[in-house]
Amino acid sequence: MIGALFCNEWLALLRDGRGAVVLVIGTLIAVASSWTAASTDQRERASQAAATEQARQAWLQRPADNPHSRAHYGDYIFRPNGPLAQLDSGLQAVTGRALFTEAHRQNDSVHRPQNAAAALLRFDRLEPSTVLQLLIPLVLVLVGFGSVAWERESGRLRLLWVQGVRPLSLLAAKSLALWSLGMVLCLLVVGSQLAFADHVDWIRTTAYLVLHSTSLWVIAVLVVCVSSRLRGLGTSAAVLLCLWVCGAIVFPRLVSMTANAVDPLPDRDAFLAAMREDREKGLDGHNPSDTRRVEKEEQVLAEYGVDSKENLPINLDGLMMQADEEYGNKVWDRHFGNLEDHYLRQSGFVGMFSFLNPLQATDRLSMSIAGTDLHSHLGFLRQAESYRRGFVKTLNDEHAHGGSKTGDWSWKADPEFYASFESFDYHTPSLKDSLSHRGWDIAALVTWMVGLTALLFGTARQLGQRGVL
Amino acid sequence: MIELEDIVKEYGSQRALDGLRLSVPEGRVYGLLGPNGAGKSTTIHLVTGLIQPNSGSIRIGGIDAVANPSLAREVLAYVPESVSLYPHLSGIENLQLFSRMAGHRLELAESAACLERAGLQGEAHRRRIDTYSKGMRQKVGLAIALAKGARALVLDEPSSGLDPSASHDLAARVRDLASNGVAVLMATHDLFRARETCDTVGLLVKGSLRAEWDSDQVKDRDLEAAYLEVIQEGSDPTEAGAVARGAMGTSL
Repeated sequence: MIGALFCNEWLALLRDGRGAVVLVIGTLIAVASSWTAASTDQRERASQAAATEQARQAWLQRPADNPHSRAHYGDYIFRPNGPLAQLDSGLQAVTGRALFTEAHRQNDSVHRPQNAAAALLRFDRLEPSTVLQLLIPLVLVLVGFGSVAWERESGRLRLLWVQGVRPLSLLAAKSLALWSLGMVLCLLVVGSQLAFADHVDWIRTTAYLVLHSTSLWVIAVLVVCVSSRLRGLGTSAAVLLCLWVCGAIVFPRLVSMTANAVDPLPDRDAFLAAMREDREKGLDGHNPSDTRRVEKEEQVLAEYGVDSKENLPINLDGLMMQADEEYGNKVWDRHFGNLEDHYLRQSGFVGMFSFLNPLQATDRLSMSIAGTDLHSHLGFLRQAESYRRGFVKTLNDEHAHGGSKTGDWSWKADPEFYASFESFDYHTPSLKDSLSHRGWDIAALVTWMVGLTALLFGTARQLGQRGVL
Repeated sequence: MIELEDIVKEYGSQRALDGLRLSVPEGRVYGLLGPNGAGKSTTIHLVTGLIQPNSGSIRIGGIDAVANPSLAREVLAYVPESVSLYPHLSGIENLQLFSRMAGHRLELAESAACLERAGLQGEAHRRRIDTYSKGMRQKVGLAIALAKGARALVLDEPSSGLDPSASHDLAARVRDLASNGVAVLMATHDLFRARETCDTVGLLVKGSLRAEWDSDQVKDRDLEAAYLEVIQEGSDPTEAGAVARGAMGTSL
């Protein structure tokens, strides 16, 4: 019975023109969004590769110079696009992917208050994830709001009832038909992306499809249940459109604002000023920079058994710069660690609201699977900072131990030394790592799936008892 | 075949049916007449299991339809006033789909035979339903009942909106079904068609059956005059019975 009803739903879609319109427009949007995303990705990767090569050549071709000059000449490092960034650019769209690393300066590129809002409100760009998470649910609402309401209003439900249709079969068939329409559109979008992509991460792509398959089931069942429980086509359409507007537009803004109100991020200028102060005056006001410098100098002189820095066999400046760098790293670790904890706390807070909005759970999981979420970005920043520290330490060590004396700023290291520097190599977190931070969202989506399926059974029972007329 | 005993149905404080008793044996056509609001639709909805009574029993083919509505629906077919079918399907596809819902998988030839028997010409079988007239859709409704092999058929205002020819044709098909042993319960406002088609006519007023006449009484008398007398003057069943006796010369 379910099979016959399911086929009938599809026949209705295909024969009355709705299916053709949806599929033609869906295909056009899928191809357009995938082509746009793919060409953007390819262009970015090409320009990134060119910039990386250019920066490398500039580094290698630069005339021999002092290591500290090189530390301030710095290096550009680039983050490759997330594995499925073509499907969901996530936070990458607002955080950027290039950093300049140099001595004494860490990168604070996460500290931008617009990040969350921009990521949660996707209307600013047409990419596959926008189509999957906003437009396809809207299509399901528009196609499905009358799925049961129209059967009732036309009187066909009575005829079906007397013929012996089981309400659960009817609702399940309608939900499956609506879900399968969503999946066809979803496969069109993902398939178009695969067609344009020159590399495919099959594991993440499969996870991405499973995520949207679950999400579309939740939406399809919700649409059918609302259509069954509410009297009248108009009411059903109005309620479902309201739910879509709330889930897609209002709720993300509201949650973002609530998270910022409940647990506000520190002001960026205050954050940087506090770090500057700690670096100058010492953490918590202890051990200011002048004192640290004197202590370090005395320690080095004692270590080498000399009474003045001119007698040192090494360049004290290099050691002093590295000591200052390490102190700066401590200050950064404390402040940035606090900030990172703050971000993660906010992210966890927002995650709990996924129990109220399945579109939010889908959005957050989508970014995680695509490798473009906050955790991926923070991971990139940690790797970049680690690279910067190694880069600066190597230069300071060369300055200290390469053969120059204290105060000799004209000493130049060999070009071979500079050539020995390796470029930054970003390690993409595994899918397991990406999803390990998304417990709330996974639990929320599973709860929605189980809850809506239970609602389908309850609605069928209600329809059988008193809902046919 | 269709038996209603002491049926009471209330909507909130309003009593729609008040102790209704009615019986349609197999092979008979029962016409249920009555003014708007008399309880005809409620009776039809009760028999088809769309609603449940507050008290009383409904038996269809010996099955307790209140306790086992899904079992009762297996032997019952229903043709509403306006047969709403799937507009994107043809007549034959609709018949096949609705038969599948009843658990019957019809071959094309069987489906065509059912439609022919219901009076639908062959050229229309493969046309989409949205090109059908109301009468043609009624015939598909009858074909669905035929294909189900129902032993009881409920018709709600079957001749409403049909031209005389289509109405006559439908009545003939209904009689044909009855001659094959199907019990037919038909709610209608069409006194002429009731007189032509029904073996028994019952007059429902304010939720109670006020008069019941068999075919001989109906055909020899002025049904319209009797109907008007009962509904205008009969405010209580006893009085109504007297009116009916006066009008038709026969007691209930």
